[in-house]
Amino acid sequence: MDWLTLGGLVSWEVARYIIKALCDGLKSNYKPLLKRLKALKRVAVKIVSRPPTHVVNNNLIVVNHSDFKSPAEFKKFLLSLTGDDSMPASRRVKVLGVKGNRLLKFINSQKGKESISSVLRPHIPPADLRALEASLLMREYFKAHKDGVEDIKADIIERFGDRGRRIANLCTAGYFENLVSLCKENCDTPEGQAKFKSIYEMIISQEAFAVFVTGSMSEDQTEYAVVKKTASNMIYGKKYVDIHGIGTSNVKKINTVLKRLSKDSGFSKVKETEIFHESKSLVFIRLKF
Amino acid sequence: MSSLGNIITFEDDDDTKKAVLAAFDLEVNDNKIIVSSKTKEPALTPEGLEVPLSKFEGIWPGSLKLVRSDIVSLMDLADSAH
Repeated sequence: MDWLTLGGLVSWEVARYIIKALCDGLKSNYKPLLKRLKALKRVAVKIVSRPPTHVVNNNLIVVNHSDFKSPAEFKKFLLSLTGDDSMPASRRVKVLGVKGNRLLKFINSQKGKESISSVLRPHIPPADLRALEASLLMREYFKAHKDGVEDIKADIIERFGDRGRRIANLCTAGYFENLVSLCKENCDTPEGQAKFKSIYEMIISQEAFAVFVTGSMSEDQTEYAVVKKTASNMIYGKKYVDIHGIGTSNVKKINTVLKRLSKDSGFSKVKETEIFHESKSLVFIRLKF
Repeated sequence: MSSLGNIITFEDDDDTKKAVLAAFDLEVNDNKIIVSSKTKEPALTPEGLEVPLSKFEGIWPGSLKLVRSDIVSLMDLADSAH
């Protein structure tokens, strides 16, 4: 037991009392301990099944629920910490798993950074917006922690289905940044909003069989993506590949890659090119084989 | 209560989860779904979803609604505090 750590926060008398109470175990009266705990500032409580109850540092006390005389005593202890019905809900203490608390802290740390979702909010369905917000959190969580995204993606798919999966894939690929640009260019008129919504729905519905070209992709990577997607589409019986690009540099990249592929005898012969949208800053085409 | 901050955490193992649930008169049925100990009816999230023990991640303050471990439930919890 680290006397110095605990003594740094509270008086030695209180520290000695708490440590003695913890060493005696909570099999005796827990109320004096509770009274002393309430006197401490910024102390967190963590419930465990092992190890025994102990103080970790100035801010955390670990409480083993089986150290109490009975489950009923533990219940009294926990409910006295969480507050009762007379207290406003906003002041009552939440009880959260360690993993959930970590994710909740991360979610709160991202508040105020919702530039993508705030632009698209008026123009995409509410469920899509929620899936997008979750996908953006997933992307940022991966940047910060380098793992845990499989669980988050599974949550998105469970909650929002295949459409959620597509949104998560598009978000991970950085394509929603392109959609924000498109929205900003078009969504200040009713006609532009309708055009944006039409393009948006096309993107979501075609996600599985399309290549979405972003600024982070080189010409070689774009060419590889088109070849790979064409091959996988064929396996599913789809004799086409859709290619999407937003922004002048992406459009230029796509045009360059298409010229290269037209000269590549190893690439499937294109029978027809269907153009959904084509301009200097936007290209959605379908290559049919 | 402000001296304790506003979150009590618990380890995510089944024993600890069950002890926390019991303190709120909740238990796990044969299908591993969390139910009221009194009525045996499933305890729900604010969206009306059932919660298997494996996805139990907390108690919503003031209403005994449960928190699931999925990202959207935690986003809802974060939004409710703002």
